[in-house]
Amino acid sequence: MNLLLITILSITAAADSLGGSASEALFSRRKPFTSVEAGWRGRSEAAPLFPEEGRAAGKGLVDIRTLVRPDSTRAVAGRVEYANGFKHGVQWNSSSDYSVVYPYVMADTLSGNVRKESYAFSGGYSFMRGEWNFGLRGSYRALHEWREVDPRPRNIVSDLRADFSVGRRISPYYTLDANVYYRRYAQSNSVAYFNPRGANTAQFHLTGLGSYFYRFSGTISSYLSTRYSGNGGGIAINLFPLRGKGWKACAEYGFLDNVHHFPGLNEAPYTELVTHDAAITGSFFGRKWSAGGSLRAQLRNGYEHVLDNGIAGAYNSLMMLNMYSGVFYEAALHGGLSAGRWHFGGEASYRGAFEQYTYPGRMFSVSGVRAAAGAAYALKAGAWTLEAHAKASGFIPTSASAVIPAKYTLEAFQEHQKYRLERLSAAFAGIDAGIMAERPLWKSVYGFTRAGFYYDTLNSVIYSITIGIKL
Amino acid sequence: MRKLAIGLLLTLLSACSGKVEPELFSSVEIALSTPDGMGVKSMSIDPSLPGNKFLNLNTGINYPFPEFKDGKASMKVQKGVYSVAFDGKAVMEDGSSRTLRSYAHSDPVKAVNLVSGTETLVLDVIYLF
Repeated sequence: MNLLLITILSITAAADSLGGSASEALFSRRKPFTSVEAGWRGRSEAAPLFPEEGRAAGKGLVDIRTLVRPDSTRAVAGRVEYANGFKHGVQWNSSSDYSVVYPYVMADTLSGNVRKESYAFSGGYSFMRGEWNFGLRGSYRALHEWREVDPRPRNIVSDLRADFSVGRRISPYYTLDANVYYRRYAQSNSVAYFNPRGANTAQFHLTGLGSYFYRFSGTISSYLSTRYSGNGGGIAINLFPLRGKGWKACAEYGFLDNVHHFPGLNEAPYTELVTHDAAITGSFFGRKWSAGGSLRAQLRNGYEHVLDNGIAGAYNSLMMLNMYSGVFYEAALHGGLSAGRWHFGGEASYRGAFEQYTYPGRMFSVSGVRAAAGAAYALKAGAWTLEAHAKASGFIPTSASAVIPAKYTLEAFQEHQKYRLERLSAAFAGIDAGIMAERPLWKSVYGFTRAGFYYDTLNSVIYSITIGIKL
Repeated sequence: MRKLAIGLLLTLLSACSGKVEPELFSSVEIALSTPDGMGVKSMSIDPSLPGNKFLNLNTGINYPFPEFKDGKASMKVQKGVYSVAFDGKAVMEDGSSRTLRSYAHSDPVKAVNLVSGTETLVLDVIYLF
């Protein structure tokens, strides 16, 4: 969960979230299935919401999922995804996983295109024994991003997570479940110049809100090869309904402690980011309607190491200073109603961010209200099952302010922060629409296709197309 | 049990790999040491000259030197590692005017650590003319 990415990709309300639990497959409302799908996702923004993720992106992907119920007391779930694509016009970011490592990214003042390739695997097994349920789940994500012109970032991400859950039936209708997880995160991030004449674009080690780590910024190769090393964990308490209807609730907390090192300087640590996430969600699912709400918050504490003069060849950390902090928050409500072939849904949220840098003092704050309402219609036409949906959404800012000291901030960095403030506090309205068509191919095998399109008043476009089979 | 739970929560919220310094600034007392031991009545350092620096290596912030009186000055800087060098216009205790140079900590590999709440920094100077 990352509130920093106030994403415009949330096409459907997250009304069916089960929270983080290795046993969630056991209580899933979905019937057993296996699906294989291939598709293309694309995005193009005239004024990118996050220029650090590019003004345009596209990826082709293959996604295989399965949910198997050997009997009513066991569930096996698995997923494999491969994606290959690109990001165009990436600015102010030579690192990967921007939402994980922000604000500690390496960046230059140019923009460029990035190629990317990723793999993700996850699998879990859960079962019931009398009134108790247990679950184990593992997931692994690998990401490779690179550029083929100078300056050339090459980044490799490895993200591993293991969950264990235990729960107990507390009534004929509900189970209370506790899930704990461990997370191991690693990213190698390096920038090279294959043409020495191209080595005149300095890389900056950003430290938040227009500040940067002056000492190791530049073009020296040992300063441009870094790695992130993170350990994290968390706990979630989940309430699951046993009969598909009723209350679902979750209270969860997680953290990630991510240290940023220079491998070429004897693994000297120079920044460290500790991220805390907390959320409380609750929904009620009736026969023909649902409603719910959520409160989410994320706290980022950023620390800068004071490294000594390195005269002994090893850069030792003398102390850490807490220089950056950021709070990202959201309060949301959602609801849905089914009437015959129609389904109506709506959501509203208040969200914002408050960041500060200790010295020289910097501050960045935005907040606003987002609302969305939509409808979907499903029908059967012969062997075909067809569904169409449309949704209108909008964002209205309620506050926006920033303090960026010009005396201590490079002009290009001032422009970057000014753009962030303007873009993250810009009002916009959008509409998205999609269709889905499905039909049996043979026996219990179905073929399906989906297409979706989003457009808003800031000239942002998101589109997707998928074909697949399931059984 | 409650204290243990609160302590664990606070530990988790501030979890990080090393010692976090709660105070950001260091109060530095600077003292000048001349080759012949003659006292420096006053000295000023022009911040516009590129070679004059009290430079935090990490942040790149270059602090302007304060006026020196009787060979001493004090300033408050962010804790860190500093590269220090200057050419200063001084009036010596015998009334003569001299230009004093400090360069011992000019090179980053000879930077000084200013990491405590209060620090004393003795700078050896030479006479330029």
